[in-house]
Amino acid sequence: MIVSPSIAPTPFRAWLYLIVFSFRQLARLKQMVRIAVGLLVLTCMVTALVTVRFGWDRTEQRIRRSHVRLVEFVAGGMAAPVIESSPAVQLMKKESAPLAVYSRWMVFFIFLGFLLPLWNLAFATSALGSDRENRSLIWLMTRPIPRWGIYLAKFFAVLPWCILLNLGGFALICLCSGRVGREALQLYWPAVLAATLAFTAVFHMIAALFPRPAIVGLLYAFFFETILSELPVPGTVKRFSINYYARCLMYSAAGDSNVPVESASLFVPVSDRVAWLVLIGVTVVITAAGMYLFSRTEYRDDA
Amino acid sequence: MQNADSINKELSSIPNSEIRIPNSAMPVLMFDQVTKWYGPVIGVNHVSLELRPGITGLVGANGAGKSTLLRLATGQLKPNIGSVAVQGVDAWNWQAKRHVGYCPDIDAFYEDMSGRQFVRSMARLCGFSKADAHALTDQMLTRVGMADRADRRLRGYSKGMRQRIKLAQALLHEPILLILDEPLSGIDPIGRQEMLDLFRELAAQGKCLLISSHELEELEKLTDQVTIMARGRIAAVGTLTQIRDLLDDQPLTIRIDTDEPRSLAALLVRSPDVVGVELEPRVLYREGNLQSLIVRAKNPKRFFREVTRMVVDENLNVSHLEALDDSAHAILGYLLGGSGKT
Repeated sequence: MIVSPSIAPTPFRAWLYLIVFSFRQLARLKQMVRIAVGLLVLTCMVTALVTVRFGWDRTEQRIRRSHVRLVEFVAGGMAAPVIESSPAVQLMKKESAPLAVYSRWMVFFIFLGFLLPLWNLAFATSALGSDRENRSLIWLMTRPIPRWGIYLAKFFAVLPWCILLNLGGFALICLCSGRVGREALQLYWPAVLAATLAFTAVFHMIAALFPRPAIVGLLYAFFFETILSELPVPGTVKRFSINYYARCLMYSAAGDSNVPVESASLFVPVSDRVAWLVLIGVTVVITAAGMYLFSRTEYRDDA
Repeated sequence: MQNADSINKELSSIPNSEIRIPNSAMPVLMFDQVTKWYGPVIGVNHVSLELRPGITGLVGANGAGKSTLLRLATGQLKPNIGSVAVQGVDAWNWQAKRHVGYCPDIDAFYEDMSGRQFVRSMARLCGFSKADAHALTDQMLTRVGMADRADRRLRGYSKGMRQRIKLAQALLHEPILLILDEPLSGIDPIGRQEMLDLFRELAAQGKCLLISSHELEELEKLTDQVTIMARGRIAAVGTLTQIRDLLDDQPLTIRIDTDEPRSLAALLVRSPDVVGVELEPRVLYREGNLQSLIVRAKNPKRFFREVTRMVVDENLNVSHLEALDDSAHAILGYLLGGSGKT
């Protein structure tokens, strides 16, 4: 019996299916999912433990460490209100407030500096990287779908995973941190979303261009991004990193809530609008460049 | 290698029109002066080839350029010079892939899937609707003899079963051009016969099959139309007989069984085309006085005419006449200057 297709096959239907197919394929990367979830659970546990055991308010510790009470004792009781209202002590109190401490350590340092790029790297490099490593890319490259379409479909397939993991993971970590976490979630989720889009685009392109995308991605995330954005380096060179613009959005949100951030002399932020434009622009431009390069690159089935 | 060199030179000087596969239809696959290199290594060199409906075997030693040729045809590689077209569409273009079914040699699958899921996914990736993909999958799995075993995970499949699944996915969209890289590898003898029958059936439907195989005996059973590659070049294209005829420098070896071997040998050595005659030692189990002459002759066509005339004129009894080295193995051996092993 010969079956004749009732509806003519179309490349658009094939492309839509490729998104679904690739999304499911990513779910099958069990090792990757387990590592990501494991890391999330560990972070949530540590955060919850710190919240319950120590809390996030460090005012007393810092005042004790900087001997403010001793100065007040020596100067006498009359001088205490003056010392307390001095700009240095006021700044110290602001910097030691729960939201400021939580933002500095959990959001800027651990989440933005480590978890977000790592989770993005894990999934975004796997969309094409796993097909390349398993040599199964041949099955996609011999289908009647434009090469740029394959790249774009893979990007759309991996994006929900990255958003789910980054935004969902961020929400979960914040919810494990009580009231201060909920405040941080409200302030920073848009920046997490914007950074996720840009990082996903970059790591996806790395997977299309390099045969060992995870290694190149790690080098990019923890050398290029870290050196440019994490270290207190003055100047405009840090503007080449995605982390910088995500940080600008976060610092702006923090500033609106009167949360002190990095010294303005070291970190010269751009406006919210510019940061958004750059992050969305990077996502679009890098994805377009990836589509172009992928459509011109030869992928041999024995490579 | 002197033979191979001179033969290559001679064959490459033959105009394309003389080695084209005779068929009036537009070429399904056309290589036009194609050169492809990987850094300093040349994969294929100045290849021109036209394939039309039917089965063509692709043979050549390892590193001869077969895989590069197949990858160019399937649009995985882009030629550095020249062009490759499938049904007139550039093979690199995604639209050409509508016409191509590819059964690769590599054994990479989505191992977590069952055979049925894999073929169905490939059908969906060809753009078929869900219902059509289901129906086509069932049809193709039946066609390759995997319908009853398709629900097992791919990672548990034997090599032969994987080959059949690869073939099923290649047939899904009814392509006019089927490129099969070692399709019989790992398939048992009964399965091989089924596959050969399927290939013949597909060819009879007007499809163009390009089959790369090291299994020359199987290939010979399937088609006598071969493309022989050597050192990145097309060394010869055509039927085995046509190619053998072109090998004038390489005398054909013929066995002639006769009851008057000495008389016939005396006649044969006078022929200008005969290079040598050997009397094969008598074999006891042969009936009567028959004995074999092993003759090496140039210009086979003229030689066979001459032998026929001698036999008739001298009224000799010839019970058997067989060319010993016009098999694909032997021809390949001559062209490649070796044993013909690929």
